Amino acid sequence: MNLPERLKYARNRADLTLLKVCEKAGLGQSSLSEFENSKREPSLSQLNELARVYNRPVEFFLSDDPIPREEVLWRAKPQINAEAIEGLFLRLCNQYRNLEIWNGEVVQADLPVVRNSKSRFTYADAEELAKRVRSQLQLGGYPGQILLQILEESCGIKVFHVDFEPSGTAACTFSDETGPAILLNKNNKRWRRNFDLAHELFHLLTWQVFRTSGQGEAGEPDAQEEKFATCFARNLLMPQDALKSAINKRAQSNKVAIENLFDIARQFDVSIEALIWQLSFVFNFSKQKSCELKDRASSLSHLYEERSSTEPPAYPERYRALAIRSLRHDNISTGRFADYMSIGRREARKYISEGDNDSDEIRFTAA
Amino acid sequence: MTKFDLLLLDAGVILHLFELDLWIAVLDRCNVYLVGTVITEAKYWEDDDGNRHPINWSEYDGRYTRIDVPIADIKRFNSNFERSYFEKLDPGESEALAYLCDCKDEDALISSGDAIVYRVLGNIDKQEQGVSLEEIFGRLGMSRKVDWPYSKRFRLEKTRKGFEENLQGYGRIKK
Repeated sequence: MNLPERLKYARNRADLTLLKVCEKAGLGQSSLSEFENSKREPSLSQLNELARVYNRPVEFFLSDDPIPREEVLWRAKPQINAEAIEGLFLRLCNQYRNLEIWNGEVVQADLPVVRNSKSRFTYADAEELAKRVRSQLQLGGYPGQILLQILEESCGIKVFHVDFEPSGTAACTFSDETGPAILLNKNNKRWRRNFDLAHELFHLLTWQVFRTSGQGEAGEPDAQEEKFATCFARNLLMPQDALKSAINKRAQSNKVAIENLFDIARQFDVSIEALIWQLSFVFNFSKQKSCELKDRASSLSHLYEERSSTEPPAYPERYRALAIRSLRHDNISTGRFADYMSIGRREARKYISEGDNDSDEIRFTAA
Repeated sequence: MTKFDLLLLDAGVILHLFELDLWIAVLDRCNVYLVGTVITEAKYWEDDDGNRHPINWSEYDGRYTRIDVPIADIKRFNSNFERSYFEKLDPGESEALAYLCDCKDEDALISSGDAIVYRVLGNIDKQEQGVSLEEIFGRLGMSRKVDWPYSKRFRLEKTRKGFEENLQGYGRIKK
């Protein structure tokens, strides 16, 4: 695809009209039309402004390589601004991958391979997959407490937290160019984000099973796939053996006080609703019993659900570390570093100083 | 008579000049050339308190020379380097370096606060066409302390690194 075609592709993906783009980029409307129709070539400065509007690096428009598949899978695609959020998400993924490449630290995720076909996938498969992930990643009895860190640091899954509406949705993408990535809503409480994280992890693990659509059409999973993802998330975050153990520890005459359920939810770092749901499956509660339990828990939430939930960092810690290392090893310009970190250039300069010896080596001998 | 006949500045240098309140002084004494992308990159400067001050470029019309390098020339310039090398350059830096290489004026100089610019100069054997802000001030008779990336030592260190990389076969594509 040549430059004019890339410009048109980028504008369509961003779902923007010519007029809107021109307003944002400070261009005349006829200019952009001429660029897209090969009547005139933009200057690099104009291309730079268009790249900013489209949330893409300038290099995308100068490249002769085939355009990579850009599929973002939403739980529920936002009605407003979905394309802008997707553009931001994909740009962040590309930036993160660049940092990995420049630092020679691309992580090949060692995650369970799922071999079923879509038509034969069952709830038992989802449960079994959760067990395998928990074992392979050594998540222990309370996976929610360390899942994010393990996925980011050991599996190379890029996890971003962004402000968007509605809050009840999340997204993921998986491409050869950027690897696996998850988008969570930064405004959600940590335990809600945990569940979303586990849910999206299912989609990443089963990407080859359920994604059969073409370019840019990952769209939304169907209802059945969503149920499988939720089943996986429940079983990953609240393993049945650990959950039964937590209940038994608090049970007296096979009964547990509702207030103790809040303690258990806190232990597993999930919401009380998610816990009740998992308990319903593990202990075979009737639908009526589940609903009653949820209502009673809800009436007590204001007393027992007072957990602190720290806002996630603007960028993943590993991303920040790679960016700083890139700057200090001259692998990125100050301007680009500032862009990657959403800071001004003056603040970016503070990360460079003369004489620091980051590359000094320390010898370790076997103990 | 100007001290520099063709002085290309990148966005970082421009912004630092604004921070030091020396932008006008340099404009008055040098033939400053700015590529279009650098002008769009240098939208505001920050003071000591972190307050942002927009730069109104129309105020300086006629006091510098604007250059817009055709995209084909930039692509041709980039094609001289391995991808992992030129991807580290900002668009403004690519454009400025492409112009420097094409203009054939050996007195043309480029000043930057980014290591990769000087590494490229060292890599393509144009070491003498880099100049740090510290050296510019020296030639203009202005003594001012500059941050490390704008010092002469920084320029020399990074230029040498680029030269060594070329000897090791990294950076420039051998044709």
